[in-house]
Amino acid sequence: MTTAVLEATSVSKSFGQVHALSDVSLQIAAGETLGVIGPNGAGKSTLFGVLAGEHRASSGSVVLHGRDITGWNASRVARSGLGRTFQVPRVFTRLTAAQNVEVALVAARHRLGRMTDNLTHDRAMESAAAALLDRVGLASAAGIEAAHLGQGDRKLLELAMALGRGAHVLLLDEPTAGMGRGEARRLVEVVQDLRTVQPELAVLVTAHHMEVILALADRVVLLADGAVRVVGTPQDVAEHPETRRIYLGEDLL
Amino acid sequence: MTVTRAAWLRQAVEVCLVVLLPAAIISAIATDLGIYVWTTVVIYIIFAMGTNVLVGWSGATSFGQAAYFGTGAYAVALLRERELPNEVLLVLAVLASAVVALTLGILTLRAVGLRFGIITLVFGQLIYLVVFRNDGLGSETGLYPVARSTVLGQDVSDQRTFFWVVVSVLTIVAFVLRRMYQSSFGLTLAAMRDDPLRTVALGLPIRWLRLISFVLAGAVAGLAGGLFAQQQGSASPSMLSFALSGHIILICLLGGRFRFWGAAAGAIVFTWAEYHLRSLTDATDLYLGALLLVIVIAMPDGLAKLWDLTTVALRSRSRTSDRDEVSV
Repeated sequence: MTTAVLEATSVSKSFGQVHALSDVSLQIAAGETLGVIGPNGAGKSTLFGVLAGEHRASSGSVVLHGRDITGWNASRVARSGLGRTFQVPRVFTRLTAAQNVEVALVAARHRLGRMTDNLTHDRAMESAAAALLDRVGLASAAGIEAAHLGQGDRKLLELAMALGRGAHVLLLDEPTAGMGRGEARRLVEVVQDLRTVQPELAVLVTAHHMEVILALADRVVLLADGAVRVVGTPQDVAEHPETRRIYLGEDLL
Repeated sequence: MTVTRAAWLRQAVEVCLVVLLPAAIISAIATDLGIYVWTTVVIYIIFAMGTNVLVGWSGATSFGQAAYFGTGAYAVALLRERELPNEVLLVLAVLASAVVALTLGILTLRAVGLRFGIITLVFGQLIYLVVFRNDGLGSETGLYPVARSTVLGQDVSDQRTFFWVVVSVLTIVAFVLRRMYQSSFGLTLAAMRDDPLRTVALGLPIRWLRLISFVLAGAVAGLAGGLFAQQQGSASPSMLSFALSGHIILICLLGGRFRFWGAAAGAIVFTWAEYHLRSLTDATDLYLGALLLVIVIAMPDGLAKLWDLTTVALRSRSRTSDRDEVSV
């Protein structure tokens, strides 16, 4: 197996008496897409929060690009190349779609030292933002305030922002939640397209629809009650008795 | 780069049109009393535009901005016997208030939202009380007389000349702020205002951004305060009062905090409304409060909304929106 770009080892997370994650280990290699499935409350969002530095793991470690990032804050993790989208898309509502992407580009370009960069309004950034919007299929929405974008478009915008931020590892938290079938299909296409453009991009994706996971993931992890139950190819995991038991006959495919 | 130069030029032209042109008209037609009030208005515009960096740009509203305005005023008043030119006096006023703002800014780096607001309020009251109880600072009567110091070696004590001094300062401040507003710094502040957590998730140095904007707002407030002490001929505790901190926030809301010139419009309407009401009634604050309430409730985006409606109507047939239109 190739070396992992992101590796979680024995990660546990408790909120008081609630054990949201217990002893979760997973690896994801460059260019790989790992799907994470599991019922509500399985710990998917907590896992993402720990990986992205929003929650501090109670125990265990997280390694990104060979660096131990356990306990780093979200801002530092983001600067190290981990980008994420949120289950409920979070965009800057009073800024236009293009400006949203520009914020991500500013974040990628410098920290704070180069004040001259801060004070120039440059055309290069504008065209970079336009190109990213085009890549996620939002070119026509560039001048629209994000407050006026639909849920699906906001998710796509978040994706463009994560890419603009220069992420090598992308965490997609329920990217198709609340989307219509057409929109969901478009998002899947955009992500597939990204993997062709950036073959090294590692993607971690959670979804309720097995359809989305089957279309995107190379491997799938089944999470239940905060623990990894099954790991394998999407087909294997879908057919695994444990998966069937947990989903209680829900129609996964 | 031609593009960059064009941006400079566009912003410079805009500032001149909005500031210098009306100032020239006012200077030509206003009475002596009118010029006196307009000078006060312009000083409030400077103060409000600085405060709007917090209220409108970054969203981290401070309820104690008078502390920095007053610091500037007292800095100038304390130096009143040194016969320093205004160029030096105002720089010192800016430095003094920037240092005070930096101190509180560092102490409040981790405080957000209401907690941040309350700390700035308490700190402002603390400074007010320290000055009020301090004989060396003139306690409740303040420091006077404060003369209008020279600019470029010229005497500017005449009200009409001083008006132009204040307008010149506003022009510089507005131009600098205009550049910042349209820069990536301004963009990241707006992002922080809309969703701080998202800004952190992108890896932006949110605490630095907050600190820089807080010091910037304090420094501009200090500059306005330094001018105000010279306008009034004194520095008094009312320049540090919570009432003033509240007024300046109301001015931002009234004018429209999400628009660059909103605070300026708010300062004009507020100051003139207060001036006229005072000559009509004793209960100025009551009527003023009611008036503001109506405007803020009816127009959450402030008077700037009227401007938007007008321009939208005018441009409805012309080109589609672009970045500039959105940020005006």
